[in-house]
Amino acid sequence: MRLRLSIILILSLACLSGYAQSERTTLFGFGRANQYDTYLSPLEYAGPQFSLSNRTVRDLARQPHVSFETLTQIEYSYTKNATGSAHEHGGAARFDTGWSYNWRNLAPGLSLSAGGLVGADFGFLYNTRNSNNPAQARVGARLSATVEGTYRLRIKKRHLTLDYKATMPLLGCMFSPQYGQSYYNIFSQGNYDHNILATHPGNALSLRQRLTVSIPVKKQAVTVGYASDLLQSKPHSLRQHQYSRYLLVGWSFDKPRKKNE
Amino acid sequence: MKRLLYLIYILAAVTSCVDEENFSNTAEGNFEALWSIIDERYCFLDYKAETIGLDWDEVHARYRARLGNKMTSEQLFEVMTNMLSELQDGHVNLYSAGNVARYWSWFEDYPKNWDAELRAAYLGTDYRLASGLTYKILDDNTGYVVYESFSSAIGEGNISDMLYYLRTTNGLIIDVRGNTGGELTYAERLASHFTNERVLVGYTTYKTGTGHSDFATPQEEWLEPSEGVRWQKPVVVLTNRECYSACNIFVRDMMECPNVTVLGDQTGGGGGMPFTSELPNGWAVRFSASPSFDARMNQIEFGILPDISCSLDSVAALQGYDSLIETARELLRQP
Repeated sequence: MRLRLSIILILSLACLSGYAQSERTTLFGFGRANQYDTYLSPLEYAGPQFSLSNRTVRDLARQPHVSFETLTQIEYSYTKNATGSAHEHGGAARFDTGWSYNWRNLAPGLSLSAGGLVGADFGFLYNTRNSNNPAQARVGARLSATVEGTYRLRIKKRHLTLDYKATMPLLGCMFSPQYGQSYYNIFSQGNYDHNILATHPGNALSLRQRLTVSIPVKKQAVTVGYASDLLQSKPHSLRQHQYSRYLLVGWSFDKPRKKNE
Repeated sequence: MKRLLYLIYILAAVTSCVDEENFSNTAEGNFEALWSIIDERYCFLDYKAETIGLDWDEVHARYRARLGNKMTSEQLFEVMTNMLSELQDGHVNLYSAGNVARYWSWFEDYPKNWDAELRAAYLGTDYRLASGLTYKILDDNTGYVVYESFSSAIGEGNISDMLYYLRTTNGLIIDVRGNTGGELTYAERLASHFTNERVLVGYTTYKTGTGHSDFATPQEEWLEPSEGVRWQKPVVVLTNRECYSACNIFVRDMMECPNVTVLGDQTGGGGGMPFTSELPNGWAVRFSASPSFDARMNQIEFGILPDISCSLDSVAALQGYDSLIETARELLRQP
């Protein structure tokens, strides 16, 4: 109980302590997704994916080694099976927020950080050909570990920032019908049957990675990069994955210090 | 060191990639994919082993031997169609770009027991239409309702308005002959107007794993009374072998309602909610995934027996009489 109160107190103080610096990055992603969900089909579907993400990182004024991060991403994929006889629409909105501890200037220009995120996903995968199993909801929540490395270097009077970030869910929960259960059975007939289940790397090993380069242009920075999302799960004897690889392009800018936001 | 190796092995095993099963896009690959889909996901393998002696492993061996290296797509389709016919299930289909494999013996092998022209003669031209419901008051003050397909949407308002219009009749005939199913929601919605109490109408279950016997505990299915107009007079439901799937469920539900008599032939069945899957060559497969039972936990996959068995009299039909409708009218005239 004392530990819980301490954590709440620390988090509350962190939120109220104001921000020393804040950086916002908006990125568009264009790439390919491989969707696989045996509830809908035993085949993998592949096709284009588009995403839009917004990330805000704020260094806390009273804890200069701690930063607060929020990440929002929406994505859409339109995939087809190998013969092109059926298509799937996939969509998701992802939210993550959390804190990281920073080790700045470990070497000239090099910083590392590690932390935790709490997040949630709201998404779907819709198969255009199926009858009573046309779609799968992709809804879940998770606690993730995240590591990030930042390296600032100078090329021809320009200060570039290389950034690599990896996020791995460690513990969470997700929604899934049973192996042969219909959504009609769950929602129209009201038969809940362990449709919310715990996730961990043993049944939902996933990894999200980003590698970006930011090039300053006036007061902003143009950011380009590459992202790879390997999302997997094995609920109730079903098998699912979404492998996405996409190029990122966007911008980021620093916001001036705010006090006691 | 050994412990560390074991730990690494266990970690690798439980956190491995979630990849698809590799069935090649060849005759053998597609055949094996189809056989596996049915083996792992079809819900009546045990039941049909008991009732019709189906042995799915033996079916595999028998039809696998018919594959050839140079067989055409048409030939492969034929082998697969014949293999799926062993299931004797109207909810099982294979869809190629140019054909649909089906098992329709559940009605093709039996008398039709209804005639479209005869039905049209009873309805005349002054019938009323409420979405998918066609109805009129016959000259002996019997309400006559035809619902041709549960794919035709019906709302609470349609049903209530229809029943209110028919309120002065002596009783109601609901003719669902030739109705091969559609939306379960409409079947339940219509049946809910014929009970004042919450009624246990059956059970349902679904597979929880790939084994033939991996099922969840059957769950009760209750019919809730409608909040709209509820019918209080006698009802006769007319059935034939074409009553299938959602229509089969409608008949099951109506049999548990008071004042309802089911008259005609055994229904066609179709007690499993169908799911869709597909093969590496892009052909779609439909199969029964989730079985329903009646209120006494009997399977309804092969149909439901009527309360009163009645066939269409072909001689009377030539004279313009539908013997099922006439028998129903007689029943409704009885005090």
